[in-house]
Amino acid sequence: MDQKIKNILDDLYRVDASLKKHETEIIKIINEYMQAKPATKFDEKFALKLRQVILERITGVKTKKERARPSALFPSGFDWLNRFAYVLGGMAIGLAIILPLVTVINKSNKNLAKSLNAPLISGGVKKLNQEAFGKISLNSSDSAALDSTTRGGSSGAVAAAQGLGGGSSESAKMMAPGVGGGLMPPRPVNYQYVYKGAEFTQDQSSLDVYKRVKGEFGSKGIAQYITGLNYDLINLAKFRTADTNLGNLTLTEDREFGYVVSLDMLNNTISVYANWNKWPRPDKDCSDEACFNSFRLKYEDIQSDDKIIAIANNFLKDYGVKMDNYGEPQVQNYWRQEYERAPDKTLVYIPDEMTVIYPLLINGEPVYDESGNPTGLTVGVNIRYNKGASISQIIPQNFVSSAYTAETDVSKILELAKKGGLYGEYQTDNSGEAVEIDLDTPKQVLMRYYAYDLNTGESNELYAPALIFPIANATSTTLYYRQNIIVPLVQEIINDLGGPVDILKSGASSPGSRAAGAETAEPVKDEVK
Amino acid sequence: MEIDDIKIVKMCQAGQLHEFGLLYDKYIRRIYDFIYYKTTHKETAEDLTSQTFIKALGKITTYDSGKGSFSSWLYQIARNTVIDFYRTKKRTLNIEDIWDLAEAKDVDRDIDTKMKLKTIEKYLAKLTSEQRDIIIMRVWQEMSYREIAEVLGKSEAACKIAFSRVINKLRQEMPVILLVYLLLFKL
Repeated sequence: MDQKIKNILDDLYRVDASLKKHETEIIKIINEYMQAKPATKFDEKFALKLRQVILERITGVKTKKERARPSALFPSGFDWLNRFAYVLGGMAIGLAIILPLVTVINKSNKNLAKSLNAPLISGGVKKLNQEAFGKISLNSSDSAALDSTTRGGSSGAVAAAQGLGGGSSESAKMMAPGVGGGLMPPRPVNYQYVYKGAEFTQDQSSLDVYKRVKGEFGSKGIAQYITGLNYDLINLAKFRTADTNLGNLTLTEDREFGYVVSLDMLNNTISVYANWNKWPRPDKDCSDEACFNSFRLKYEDIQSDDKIIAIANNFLKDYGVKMDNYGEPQVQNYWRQEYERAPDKTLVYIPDEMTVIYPLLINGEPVYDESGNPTGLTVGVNIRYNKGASISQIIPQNFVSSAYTAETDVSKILELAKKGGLYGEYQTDNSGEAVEIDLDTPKQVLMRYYAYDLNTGESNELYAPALIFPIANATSTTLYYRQNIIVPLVQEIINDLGGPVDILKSGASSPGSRAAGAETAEPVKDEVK
Repeated sequence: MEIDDIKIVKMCQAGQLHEFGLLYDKYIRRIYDFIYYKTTHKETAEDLTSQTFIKALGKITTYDSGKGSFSSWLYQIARNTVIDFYRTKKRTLNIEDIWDLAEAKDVDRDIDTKMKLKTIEKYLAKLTSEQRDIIIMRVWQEMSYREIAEVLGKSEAACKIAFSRVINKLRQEMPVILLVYLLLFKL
């Protein structure tokens, strides 16, 4: 007997045992009904289509019937992404191209999208308990000293490479063809920082550290949609679990001067950059240096900073990029410094693209990176075509904050500044030329850094209070490129700093502590004030 | 991986509505089939299935896990959607699904399904809508009595009793069928 029928019979007999004597008839009836069960004509296409409708309702997207242009699935704060609606095939991630819908959708529940978006786009800072982030030093393993190779976060590695005022990094730059006017490698230089600013105090015993909160960014929902697609090449449905997220999404505009939009769903960042295949390259047919040189930009081709900023502003406005909580834009002019210092200016490479930086503001405080450079949203402006070429670091600005013990000993702060700030300064042996760098009066800012946890392998994006000491005489110093020295104010970060290795200095065999007044080989920890 | 309905629903209720997709994937086939059995028309079933899930999405915040499983809640919505549909069609009659309209000419039905159900159709038509739903859910969809009870808003015992009465009634109503069956297969 079929097990299903047996199960039904067992239930029946528990209720009415007298039915047992009619078992043969009952089996026939049940069998009859089982045989009569109709095929329901379930249509997978219908199911997929309805799924799409459901997803669109969740993200608050209007159907093609309701809006003239292709709809999109991005949260309301990123409506501008709808501009990038021309997706190249291949991935068939049809989020920017939405197929026409058959079913007319009920127009109620408009708050659904808002309730989904609110945690992501709302912005603002939520205050947590004191030291809620745990260890926030640059290297949160108790046993390891600072080691740049083990730190997570791309900017950590970048910061370690840039901003150092002397030594080998500068030599390499100067030797690069076309860069720096072809100077011979300079003699080693020891930069010595001298504070020339006004007296200042730091009286706050605790200061807020901020942590950027990363949301789900719609990655699960989109992953669910994608794993529902049928490619016939692989069963994507096998990946449709609650643990599946979309990591990255790229949209490509297949048109002249088109763009590529890259969404990092895990880190909640969006970037836009030129689809270079679709931007005209006047030198693309060149095969010799003379031809390439004929298309190189000249100094006089570069517009003023005001005009470059205006192009950047228009680009951002055109694509509806939210510009809340960004400071005044400034053009990064490192290439100008090189140009002005180069003996042979014809050899200096003038970039096609200028970078405009819009410093991030958190609770009104500007954010700098670990090298002391303003950081935030960056816009690339293509000088050749006077067009916006890229936008980087578009982020939802959701933060939490927590108070940490701050350094109030100004002498300790100044000691760190004189040693070159956060990462210090590599010092060669005493044969190196001594160059004095003047530091001006500091102002309080936030320093963005990545606290890497060796134990978990995770990197937390943190913004710690710091002092920025402007370099007062940078332009008059031939090879010095830094604009600021940055010194953190959180005691835990200061106490955990290793130091720059004193190359070739007699008696130096390991990184020394740069905590104020400490000359021991081991980093000072938990210094009591 | 088995989807934890309650966990997913709680996430939806917390604002993570995209998780609803998991519930949709789990129940779309079952709900569609259930509605099809009650309508026997593909396009109608698709339309009512769409309405069911959209209503469920809209009402997800009202679902109370203390009152029953998510699946039974979804079935209730589906059942009510079908009832509303047919009552809209035939306002003067107490119509709850296609079986109450078995003899009607002005309703859409799939011909092949109609033919397949021909043998039992008139017997199903004599049952109440609730009794038919018990047959559909128990025999065609192999749902447990607990689930059926939650959908119908009755106790498990009441559903078992109701089913046994349906079987008894069918046994009494279908002697000709049985006779033919017995003659054909000599059992």
